[in-house]
Amino acid sequence: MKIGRRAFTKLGAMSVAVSAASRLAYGEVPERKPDRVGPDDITWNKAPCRFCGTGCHVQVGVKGGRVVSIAGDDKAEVNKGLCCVKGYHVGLILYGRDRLTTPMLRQGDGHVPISWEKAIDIIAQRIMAAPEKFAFYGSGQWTIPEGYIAQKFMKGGLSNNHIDPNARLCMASAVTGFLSTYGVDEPAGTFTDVDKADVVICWGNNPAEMHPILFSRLIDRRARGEKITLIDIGTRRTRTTDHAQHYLEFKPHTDTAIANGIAHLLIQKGTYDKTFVEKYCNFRGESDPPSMNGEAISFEEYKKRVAQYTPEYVEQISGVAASDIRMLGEVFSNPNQKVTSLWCMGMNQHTQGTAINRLVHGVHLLSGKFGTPGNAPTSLTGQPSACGTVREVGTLAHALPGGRVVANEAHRKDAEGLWNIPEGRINAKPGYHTVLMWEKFSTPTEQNGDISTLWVQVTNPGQTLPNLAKLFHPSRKLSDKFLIVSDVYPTATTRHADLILPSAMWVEKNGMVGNSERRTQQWFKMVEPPGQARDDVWQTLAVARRLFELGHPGMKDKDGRFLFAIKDEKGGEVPAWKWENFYRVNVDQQLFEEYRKFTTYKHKNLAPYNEYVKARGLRWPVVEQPDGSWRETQFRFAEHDDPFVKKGAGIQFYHSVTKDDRALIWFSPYNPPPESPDETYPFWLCTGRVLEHWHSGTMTMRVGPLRRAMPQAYIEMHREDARRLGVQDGETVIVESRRGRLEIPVLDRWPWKAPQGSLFVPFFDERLLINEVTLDAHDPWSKQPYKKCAVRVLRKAT
Amino acid sequence: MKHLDAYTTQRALSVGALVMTAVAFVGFFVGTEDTYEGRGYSYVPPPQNGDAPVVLSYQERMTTPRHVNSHFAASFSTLAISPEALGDATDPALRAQAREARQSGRAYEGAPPTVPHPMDQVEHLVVCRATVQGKHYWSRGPKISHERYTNCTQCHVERDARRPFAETNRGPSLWTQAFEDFIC
Repeated sequence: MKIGRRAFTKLGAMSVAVSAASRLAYGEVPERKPDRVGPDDITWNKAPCRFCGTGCHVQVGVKGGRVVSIAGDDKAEVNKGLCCVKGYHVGLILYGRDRLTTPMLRQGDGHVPISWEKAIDIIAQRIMAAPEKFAFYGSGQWTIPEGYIAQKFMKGGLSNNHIDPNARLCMASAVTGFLSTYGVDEPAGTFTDVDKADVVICWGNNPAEMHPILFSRLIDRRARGEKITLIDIGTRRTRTTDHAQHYLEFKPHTDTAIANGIAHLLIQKGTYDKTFVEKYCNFRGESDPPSMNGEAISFEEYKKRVAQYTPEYVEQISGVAASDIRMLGEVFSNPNQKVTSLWCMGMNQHTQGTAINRLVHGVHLLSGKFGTPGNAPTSLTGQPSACGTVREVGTLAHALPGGRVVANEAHRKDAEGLWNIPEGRINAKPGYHTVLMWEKFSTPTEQNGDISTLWVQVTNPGQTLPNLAKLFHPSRKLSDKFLIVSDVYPTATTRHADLILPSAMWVEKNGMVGNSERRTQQWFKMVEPPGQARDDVWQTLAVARRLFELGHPGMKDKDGRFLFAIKDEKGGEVPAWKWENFYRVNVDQQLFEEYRKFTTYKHKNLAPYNEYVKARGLRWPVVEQPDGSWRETQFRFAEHDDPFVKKGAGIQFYHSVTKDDRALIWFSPYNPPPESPDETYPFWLCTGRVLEHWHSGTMTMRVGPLRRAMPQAYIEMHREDARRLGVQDGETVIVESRRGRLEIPVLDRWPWKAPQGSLFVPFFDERLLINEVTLDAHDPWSKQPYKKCAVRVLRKAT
Repeated sequence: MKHLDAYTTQRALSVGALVMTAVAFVGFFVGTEDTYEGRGYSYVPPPQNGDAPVVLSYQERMTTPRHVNSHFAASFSTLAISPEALGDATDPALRAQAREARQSGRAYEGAPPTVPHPMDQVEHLVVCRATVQGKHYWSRGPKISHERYTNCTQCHVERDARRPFAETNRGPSLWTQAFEDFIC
């Protein structure tokens, strides 16, 4: 066929016209960019959402000093302009009718208003009386500056390491898993892996309800025609299951056997990634006596230990069919499939939490599903700054900022240098972790209960601690134990507090947080807090200053100056501890710039504050480029992206435990749980969250649409079990464990049913405290408790 | 098979391209859906044979409690909302009422509405399909603006949870006071 010049030109013009016309016809209308000041005089500004660890950015609309509207931020890479239902309603959390607006002191059975001055003095006097008996309990909702000032106040000021967060109940096992595998905490991959993976495995994880935006990123790929396999390994059906091709139901606690079963198949069939393993991995087993870092084992030894985990053996332990275990083996064997694992509380809240975390990393390393886009073992967090504050600032009983630990002399010296405090001030002995801290607070002083004053910020332990009868309630009957609670609303904790401090929340203050994918985010104060509510940073600063005035030596640096010197532009000290001065300068910025110096040691480099003002979050390590810009990192340890990997290394685990740039593939055997159903207590009880509410419901239960959609907790029971017990749908029953009991109505018609023999109760309802029933046994390394336990169900009439 | 000569091929390609251009051109300006006159229609009584559900007018929507469509089994084609059934779209009073009704399910202008029926992911595709097309699957069936999104529970929750039990109140509840007259 011959085409002349003229014909070619005509054809060319036509095809351009066709493509242009079709583009115009089907092209998307670009979304309107939010203006700084929009119509109706609404001023818009960016902030990360207040809720989970996904870290979506929202645009907050403010008019007349009130938040009046929320929109997804279309510049945000995490959520691409969308929000989840909680996110769209996040502005309403500020406006519940019962905000705490004044400090209150217990008097008899009630509380009476007092001045801020008196409240700060009471705290300072209690600390002065016994600094070593003081403890600070915070959370993954502490902003980075809030966590940092609390951390410095305790460890650098009071030489007291009794500071721990509620994140201990949430992701401590993920931390020990990362540390013992890679020698450094936090995921190597990012949410980009979810966009690139062929197979996504949810290990006891329910992102459809807990991280809806992240889940939608996955589901939307399917809607666009991409082929993605979703495998849900769970103990009950959830909304995630409904989108999954494979649902593998296992008996609680037996996930270690499943992971070992996959490793066994990879080795038995010879389909593990030999090159990856030989170049980048060492093997590790548990030592005798057990230790966090275990002992080195050979590949042959490893092979021998996993050999017993045949699909049939795993089926026997876990209840997952051998054919499904083989299917998982094939998923990891296929070199052409990219596999991302997601997990959260299911794997972490476990007496073998560290072990199962290591095993899932191990399966990814063994199969080489690591370091390339789409191949990643990624743990998720439930709180907005579990990573940014707890893990990076290190507000844990054993940690110092930037991946350092108190037990290491060099680390202590580093911190003492950066804080300009005398050598030896930081205590080398780790403080009490969460469970122990509350146990000591609940034990009479004469019986070695050596915590007498406990300050809680941004969390609700009176509802969320396990086994409340042991860990929370006893101290409330001991006259010398003093509980201070900073919060925004009355909660199950403030109800029992001796001193209540009203806090500013979210966009009522400046803040910075860090999400699950190492993304550090910043926002500015947009509205005034109600009444006398004040920032948590200010509260800590004011107590520190009062202690300084009372002559506490720890509140001075090496040169005798106040430990928290806040400066103005000319370098003069600003008395920011006086509330009227607190917003004269950006205290957050100054604390962050000081903290930033800690972050280079473990290559968790952060950019200057102002870079975060411009961005919708940046994923660390953020490294300055020759042109002065700051570049974030998506894939840690991978040469193609991580600037700290040597050229030509491919993958380099530069903080490896074994100091040879290799990660560790662990073997940990399946061990039975501390408590299993038996004849007396025949049911498994699992607790968890629901789509509509966030954690203990303090905020979301005050948001009309969310509360109406999910007004109260219930017990989810399989219809067969209900029938057998003669329980009607909606009937109130008694659920009872060896520790406590609770009356709660049954739902047996819930579409995502718990399996037979298993019950589920969400923990958001402060009227129905399921943690009266749960177990406080915990993982030996992460100290994270395991709430799943054995219970029985009794009819009220019998 | 006999090969086409160069001339025929060239003509065929040109004609094909021309047709595509014309379709794209027409499609761009006219759209591909049927059009109707949006003004001046009159009320048409609902079918009387009893097997098709009666679509509520704006007026009726204000006063009728929302409930599950009792004619659930009816086919989608009979469930389609006809513009006539919605009443006179130019009536300012009806428009104001409709706006109010639209707001009643939203926390603020621009918020995703709560929905008047339960949602779960197995069923949601069916509901979604019906909602996309503006059909009456439940008693109320607005046409949604974002048919590309398939994870309904990302943004929407049920307006009023239907539970087989009354709310339990064990002792003092801290929220109750916060919520007695909370509206949104």
